[in-house]
Amino acid sequence: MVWTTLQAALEIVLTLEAVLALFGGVVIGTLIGAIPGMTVTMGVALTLPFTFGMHPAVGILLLLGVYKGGVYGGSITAILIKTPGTPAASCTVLDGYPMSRNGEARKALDIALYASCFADFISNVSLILFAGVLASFALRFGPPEYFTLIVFSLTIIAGIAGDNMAKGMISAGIGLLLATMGLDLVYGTNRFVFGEVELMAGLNFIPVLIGLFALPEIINYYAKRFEERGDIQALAGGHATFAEFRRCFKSIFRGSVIGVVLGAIPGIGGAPSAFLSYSEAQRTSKNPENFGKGEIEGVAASEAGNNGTCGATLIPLLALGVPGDIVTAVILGAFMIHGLQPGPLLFEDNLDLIYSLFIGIMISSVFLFIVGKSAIRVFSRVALLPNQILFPVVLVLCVYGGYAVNNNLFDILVMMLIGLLGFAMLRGNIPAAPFLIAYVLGPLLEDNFRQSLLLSHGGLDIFVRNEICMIFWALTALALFLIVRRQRKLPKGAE
Amino acid sequence: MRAADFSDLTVGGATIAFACLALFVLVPLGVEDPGAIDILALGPAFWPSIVSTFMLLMGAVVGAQALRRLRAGRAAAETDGEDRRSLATALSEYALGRWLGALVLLAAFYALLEPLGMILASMLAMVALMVLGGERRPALLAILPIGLPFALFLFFRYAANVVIPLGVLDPWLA
Repeated sequence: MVWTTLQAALEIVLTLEAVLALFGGVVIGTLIGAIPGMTVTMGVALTLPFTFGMHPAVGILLLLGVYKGGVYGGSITAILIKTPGTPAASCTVLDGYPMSRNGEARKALDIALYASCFADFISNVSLILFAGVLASFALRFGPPEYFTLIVFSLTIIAGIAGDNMAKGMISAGIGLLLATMGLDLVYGTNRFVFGEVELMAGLNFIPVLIGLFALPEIINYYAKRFEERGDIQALAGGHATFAEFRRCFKSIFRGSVIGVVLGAIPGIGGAPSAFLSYSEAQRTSKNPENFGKGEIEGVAASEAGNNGTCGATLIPLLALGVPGDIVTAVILGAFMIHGLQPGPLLFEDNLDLIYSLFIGIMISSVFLFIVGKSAIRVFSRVALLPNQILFPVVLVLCVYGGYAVNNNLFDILVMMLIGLLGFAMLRGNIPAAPFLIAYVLGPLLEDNFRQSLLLSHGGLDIFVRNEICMIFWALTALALFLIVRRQRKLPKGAE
Repeated sequence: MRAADFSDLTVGGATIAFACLALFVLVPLGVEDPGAIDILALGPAFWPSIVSTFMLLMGAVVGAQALRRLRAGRAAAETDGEDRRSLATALSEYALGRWLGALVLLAAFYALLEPLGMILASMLAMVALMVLGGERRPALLAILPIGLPFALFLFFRYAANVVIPLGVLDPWLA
């Protein structure tokens, strides 16, 4: 049985289309990560419409390639121009940029690549080992268990809400409210349709996604009078040696494990993992005073912590159907668009697809190394791409992508309106990520809540019916307690 | 008044206004009543009402936080440290004309998608936005706006089987 499934998976992955998609995804992701102002989320969102004509596994692999490439690509600009391409790469700046200024840019980029690839590999192995186990456990879940799980998952919002929790909650509220548009699933009546046929199926995920993450940046670019860029350091110095890699190995391995553990917990993400890995490397280093001044181990530790989360964030996504971070929320949407619902049943009904993703994700680590090693000079030039060219290109990609979902111009209108909403949120310093998480999880939350009440004939005791529900309530309470404690520790006035 | 406090006060006020609109206008008018509902929580209006109430509370929290900071004379979190700016300075950094120009171009782009078709409208929008952004190199202004929309058309039309609206180009490209 396993061999037959494995054979079927290999037949999917070892095709020219799949290999090209994965390789292309890593290249695109690295390019996007290397461009200041472009985020991994934006990259995955813009790539998503290009997967429509593909086999679901091939399309998902393309997106995973973009994800992994993007996380690594963020380190290039962090090292060369002191501008992290992704939030998670902000820790890499601490020692990466000083190394560049000391004429060791190539060495910094090399060790960032080695640490990224190693951590990515460890993260992928953990995904393969743990996702199946978790999925088999999740087969016991019914609507109340899913409801409590999603309530717990919504605590992600606290992790990505930024400095002001209340603004993050407002963002989530907008997402939850917009997710209720369309036909009501229990009674079949209209909600917020107002006679518009196009709204009966609700707002399509992709126009909302693109409108929220790409358009506000474009509009904001045209609103700004001045554009600041950091000093660009030359790609100078020698390559990192094996001895230097060996010296950093302990920090790389520790960072990888930190990345896996924190990545598997919904809502933590790459940046905290990178900083924890960095601080642990500094704490255990023989030369802690060198950190922040161009210490190669600092670059290795932060990149390992950062990339170690990549595979692990897919564990809750594949096993439970809940996203581990904002990018996996987009990938969850991609699964749905291809007619698949991640979760335990995916392991029963589409095991060949799961295996093909596992195989592809392992290959992606190798591609990441090849792409990073062979084209680092090209990627370092990408940081110089002027915004007056970049943003019109992104806009046209948005419009084609937004249209291609349903062949419907109405979706472009939705995208543009959400873009304006996103711009207003950007100006009001309201984070967009909670909106998207809530928009994705909102319908699942409501459906499972109402299904549970239908089962119990209105009795609320169904939500504490067994130990699984109780564990998720306890985890939710624990997460909220930790969030409140963290908020109280913030300096006064920095809510 | 600090820029961030003013911004937070606006966010709080706008959220409260929107939540009230949702609670008292949008939910009663926009959610169809299915008739007799045995369990209140199963009704289609229950969830949107709960979310709207939650937003109302959060809007009040953001507004109250901003007011408290104003009373205490403290700057908002983001204006602390190196980013201490007055509202007037913050607004002067924004190019209102260019921003409005971009919004008009976006609206025109959408309006032209059907009559001109996606390829031609994209070409025009790209040129206009590149010029608005300050690009003046003729070669780039010619090659990129023609090449990209056409390449995307070829991909979506022939690789993804998406029917792209062609507008005036329909007789030649359909």
